[in-house]
Amino acid sequence: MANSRISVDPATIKAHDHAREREIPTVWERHEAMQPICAFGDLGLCCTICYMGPCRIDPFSKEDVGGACGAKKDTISARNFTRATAAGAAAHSDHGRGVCQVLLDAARGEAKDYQISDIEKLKTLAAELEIETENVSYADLAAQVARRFFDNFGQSEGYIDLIKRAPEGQQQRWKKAGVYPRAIDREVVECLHRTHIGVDADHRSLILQAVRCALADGWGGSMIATDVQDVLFGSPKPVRAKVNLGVLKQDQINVVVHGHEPLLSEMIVVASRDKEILDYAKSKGAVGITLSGICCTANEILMRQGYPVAGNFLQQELAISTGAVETMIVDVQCIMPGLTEVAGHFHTQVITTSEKARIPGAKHLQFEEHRALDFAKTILKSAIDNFPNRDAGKVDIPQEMMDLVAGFTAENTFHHLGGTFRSSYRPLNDGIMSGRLRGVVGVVGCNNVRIPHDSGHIALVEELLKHDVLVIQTGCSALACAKAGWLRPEAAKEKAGQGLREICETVGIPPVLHMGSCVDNSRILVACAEMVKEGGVGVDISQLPVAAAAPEAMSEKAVSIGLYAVASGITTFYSPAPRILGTPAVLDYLTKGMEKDFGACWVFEDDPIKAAHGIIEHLDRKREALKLDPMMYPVKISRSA
Amino acid sequence: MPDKRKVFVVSNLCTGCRTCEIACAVEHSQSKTLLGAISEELPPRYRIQVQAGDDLKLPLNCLHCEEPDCLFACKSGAVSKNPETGQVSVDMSRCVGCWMCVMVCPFGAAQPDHHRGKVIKCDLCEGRAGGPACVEACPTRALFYGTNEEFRAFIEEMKQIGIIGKSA
Amino acid sequence: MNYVIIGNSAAGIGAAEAIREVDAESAIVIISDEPESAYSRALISYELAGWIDKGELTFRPPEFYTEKNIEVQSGQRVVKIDTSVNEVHLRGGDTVPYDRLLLATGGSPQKTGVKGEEKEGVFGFRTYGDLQKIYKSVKKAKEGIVLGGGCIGLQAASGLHHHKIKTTIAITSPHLLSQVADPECGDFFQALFEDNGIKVKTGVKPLEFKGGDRIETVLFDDGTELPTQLVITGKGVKPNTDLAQGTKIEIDWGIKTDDRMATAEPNIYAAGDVAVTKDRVSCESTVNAVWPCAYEQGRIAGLNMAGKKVAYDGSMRMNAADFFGVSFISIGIVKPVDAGYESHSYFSQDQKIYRKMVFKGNHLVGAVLVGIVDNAGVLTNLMRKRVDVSTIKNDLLQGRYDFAVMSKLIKDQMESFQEPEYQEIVVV
Repeated sequence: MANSRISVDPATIKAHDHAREREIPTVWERHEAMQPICAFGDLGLCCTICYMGPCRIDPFSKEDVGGACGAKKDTISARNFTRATAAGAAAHSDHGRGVCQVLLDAARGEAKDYQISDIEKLKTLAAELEIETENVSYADLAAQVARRFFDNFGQSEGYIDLIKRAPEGQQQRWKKAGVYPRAIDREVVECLHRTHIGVDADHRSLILQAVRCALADGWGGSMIATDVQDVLFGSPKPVRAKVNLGVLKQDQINVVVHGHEPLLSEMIVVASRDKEILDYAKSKGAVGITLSGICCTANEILMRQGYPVAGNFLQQELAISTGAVETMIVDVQCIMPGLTEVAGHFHTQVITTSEKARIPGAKHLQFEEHRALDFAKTILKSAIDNFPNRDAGKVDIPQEMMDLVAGFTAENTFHHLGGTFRSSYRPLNDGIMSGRLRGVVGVVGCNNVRIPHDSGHIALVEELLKHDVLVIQTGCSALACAKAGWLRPEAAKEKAGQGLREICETVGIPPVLHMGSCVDNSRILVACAEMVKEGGVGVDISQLPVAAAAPEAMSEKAVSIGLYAVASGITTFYSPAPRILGTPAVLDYLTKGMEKDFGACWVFEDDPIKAAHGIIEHLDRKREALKLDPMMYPVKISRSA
Repeated sequence: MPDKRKVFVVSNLCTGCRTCEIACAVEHSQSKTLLGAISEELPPRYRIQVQAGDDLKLPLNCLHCEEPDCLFACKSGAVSKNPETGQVSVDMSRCVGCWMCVMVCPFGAAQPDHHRGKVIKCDLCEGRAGGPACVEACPTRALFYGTNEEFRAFIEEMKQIGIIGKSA
Repeated sequence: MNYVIIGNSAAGIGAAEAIREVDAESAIVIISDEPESAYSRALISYELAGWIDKGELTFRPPEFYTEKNIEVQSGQRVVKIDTSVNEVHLRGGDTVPYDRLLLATGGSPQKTGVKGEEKEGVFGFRTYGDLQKIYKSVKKAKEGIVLGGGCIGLQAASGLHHHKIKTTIAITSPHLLSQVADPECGDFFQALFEDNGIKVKTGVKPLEFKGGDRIETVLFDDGTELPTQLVITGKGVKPNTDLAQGTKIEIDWGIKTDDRMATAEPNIYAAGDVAVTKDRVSCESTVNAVWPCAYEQGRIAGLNMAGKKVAYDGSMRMNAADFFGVSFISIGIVKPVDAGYESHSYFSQDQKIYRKMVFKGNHLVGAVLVGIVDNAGVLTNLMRKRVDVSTIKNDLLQGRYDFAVMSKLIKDQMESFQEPEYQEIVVV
């Protein structure tokens, strides 16, 4: 496979070459060996729901006789889409439930290693939930908040609480469409029920349930996860750090945390600073311990602790194939089972820690929140013990490494825009209204081996910056742009259009703002709601000059995120499309019909430059509808790109 | 010796995934892409068909017969057999859709295309760089493109490495 | 070696091509009384119906003869065969010597025997010449009558309809396609034709073609008299056996042949619509005047003329056509007259699907397919090879007859499947 098909990141190419020379297959080789991709599956025309099948619909046949039960292609692909949404929402939300449990345990003194780090946020949350805050201990308040959030998962009456954060326009649209989310688990369960054989066969009805489930994720499970993590571990603040495989150190014990939840990784951070542990490391001949992250765990310890990032999703195996990683500690989501195969070529131990995720070939050490710090120390000791097993001859760490600033949130980001003295979205809205900024676009999502690693994120964001679009990012997408250097304030000068540059330089922020992990896409929803509240750029999210993009989407979580973004009024450019392209009816609803119901739609465009231009045109249409000032520094779209 | 290559079938390697059909239809579409092909006004038709028997999955295609009944039956002179390559081809500009070939092909490999009023059958993806698209697409190597000798050698190899039974 | 072939259609060309496969050198002369180079007789109805462009009937391109080094004498009529000196006599008096002679003289439309048959505007429908004459009349005609409800008759009617002529099909039988289909199927096509604006009159015999020099009306035995300016008769074809007179060649309706397509006269072969062959399904000797059989017989004759010993496994009744977008294929014995046959049919008016299977014992002997004709060749093959279909009979009756279904039979009846293709396909 040509390197241009692998990645646009030189470190990734080097590390992959290294693995290839050693004949260690990674995701690229496995994906190639798996070709051709099954077109029935790819088009969403394969149904494996009941055991009469599997059934598949011929995409070339003019007559659709349906599968064995008579489900035609619109039913089949809408069901598949709904199930994907449910799985994605379940993943985010179960993560949210996990952190709520720790908040409750911490409040009750049962998880003594955790504490309430952001009291202000706790109080704000409690007020929002209409919990009495006067004369109540923080512990009690935390327990009440945790219990209330637990109720949001399984309550039999009412609606999820944080949905109230959405502007009135969204509230009305959701009620009208009948998608106002009730309880998080309930919506996931209902997706599964409806998609069982012989229940809901109407594609629009199915997708609307998927919408309700996705909203329960974005304004529910994910938002709860974000907020409770902020309470427990502190709200992020801008912080400088380093990113890419070059953060791994030849002379240090390299411990990589990978997955999604910060519960354990935060404790490992603490443990790694422990003198006893550091002394132990030195006793084994290491200069120190380098703790770094992959995927969203990386984002969590990056934005709160400034810890380095080894890489994003497609780099997880490559981190191991540097030969320099003693231990990779994983929890949940996006962890390739192929890791242990790669680790088998080196001394690296892969340790699974969540009872929800075990991987053949990995060592399992069950994480216990009640003795979190001890557990973290045990793991670090085990990593240190593994250091002497490292084969220096096999070590090959690409030296690439980039500076970045992370740690922006819905609350703090615009403190910067307004200056540190007041927290207001006014300056952002003014920037947009005056035509300095074209709009704000959230570029988020995964890596996908079908697309050269990072290429979609890089190309899309670069084009947006040129056109004075402020980019906010989360997840693996943020890490892609971080590696490219665009999360440095200096990038404003190098990459941004004149208007964006002026704002960035005045405030001293990068043109691309890191807003966290993938559950933190909820921060983007809140930011949009705040923009509406501030006024002047639309009374409903769908009127804002904003958009979202996931140019290398891979997971079911991305489907759920895309769907809650669109249902919340944010038009979303998504690639590769979820498996609905073989079904004109479903495609039509997602790309056109949703516009009527929710004021926004999906756009499936695989070319990141074309997607960027689509986004720019979309923002311009929104600006025009709001009769905003023309762009202060117009830049012509160059079609040659 | 002339290069008489064609598509052979190893039926017990076929999983019935129908990827060959898709590849064939896409190759015979206007756009040559999957997404383009499924949205064409007159969708392309595949020439290869995965047929199912009791214990059999058979990706069936034109066998480019030694004595092609379709050629003998064609009343418009559209069918010919290349003496060098053995390929039986249909000159589409001359096919009138009389279905004589459909009536006589023992394998059902000549299919009527009512939308276009012409027969469709395997053209071995003539001119395609990678050879027939179906063969390239098959994930389990149930299709083989080559000469008879090459095919026999392939079968032997498959038997040696135990992919197909020795009894076969 | 001198090969002489009389007739330049399917059988003649089939023979010439086969000879060339074996013998690249010897002279081949094709003599044809038609002025055109090889064209497909079977396509004249397609041209009349506008399905193919005018003049696209060429069955082999003009360069075919030079490439294959074949001499063609077009517009020449052979009037006599002199078997004593192995020569054929042309009308002009010339003679052509032969070492091997093929009679591929075809057939001619049968006379109707109706009074007034010679009038202008009454045509047979078989040759390119007929077509040209019809074209001339078509321009002036408002009304037309087709006598005959077989495939050719129906195609002729579609052709006249295409030229905006108010067309009536008049037949003596009670339903269309009576030779090759059941009433149910015939009635389906009658409705189809009527829906498309063509009238069908069943159970009537023409008594007289009336008018002056030109046809003006046709009088039928039910007393009706229909005005018309054009009549096409489709009463079937009679083998052109005249040349056999004065030779040892045996005639029984057509020219009798053995399994190498040889006649009783040494070095003289016959093939195509003139030849009597053994029907491989009914086992009766008969003329199966259809294109695929003609070509195949010509090919067998040619191979044997060139010294190969190849046996013909027999001809078959079969025909395929397409009427107003509805396909029709009929194979083998589809209207058995005696006991011992078993017929099953399935009909769906909505789907425009009709299917009939005829069995004799464990053998499939006939099939009619309407609407969906895919895999018809599999059925043809089952009949042709006379394989025992008892194990797949239920599949056949339910319309499942793709090759995979049939392939079950191969292992048990290997002797019937000796062609190399079967070895290739059922490898493991």
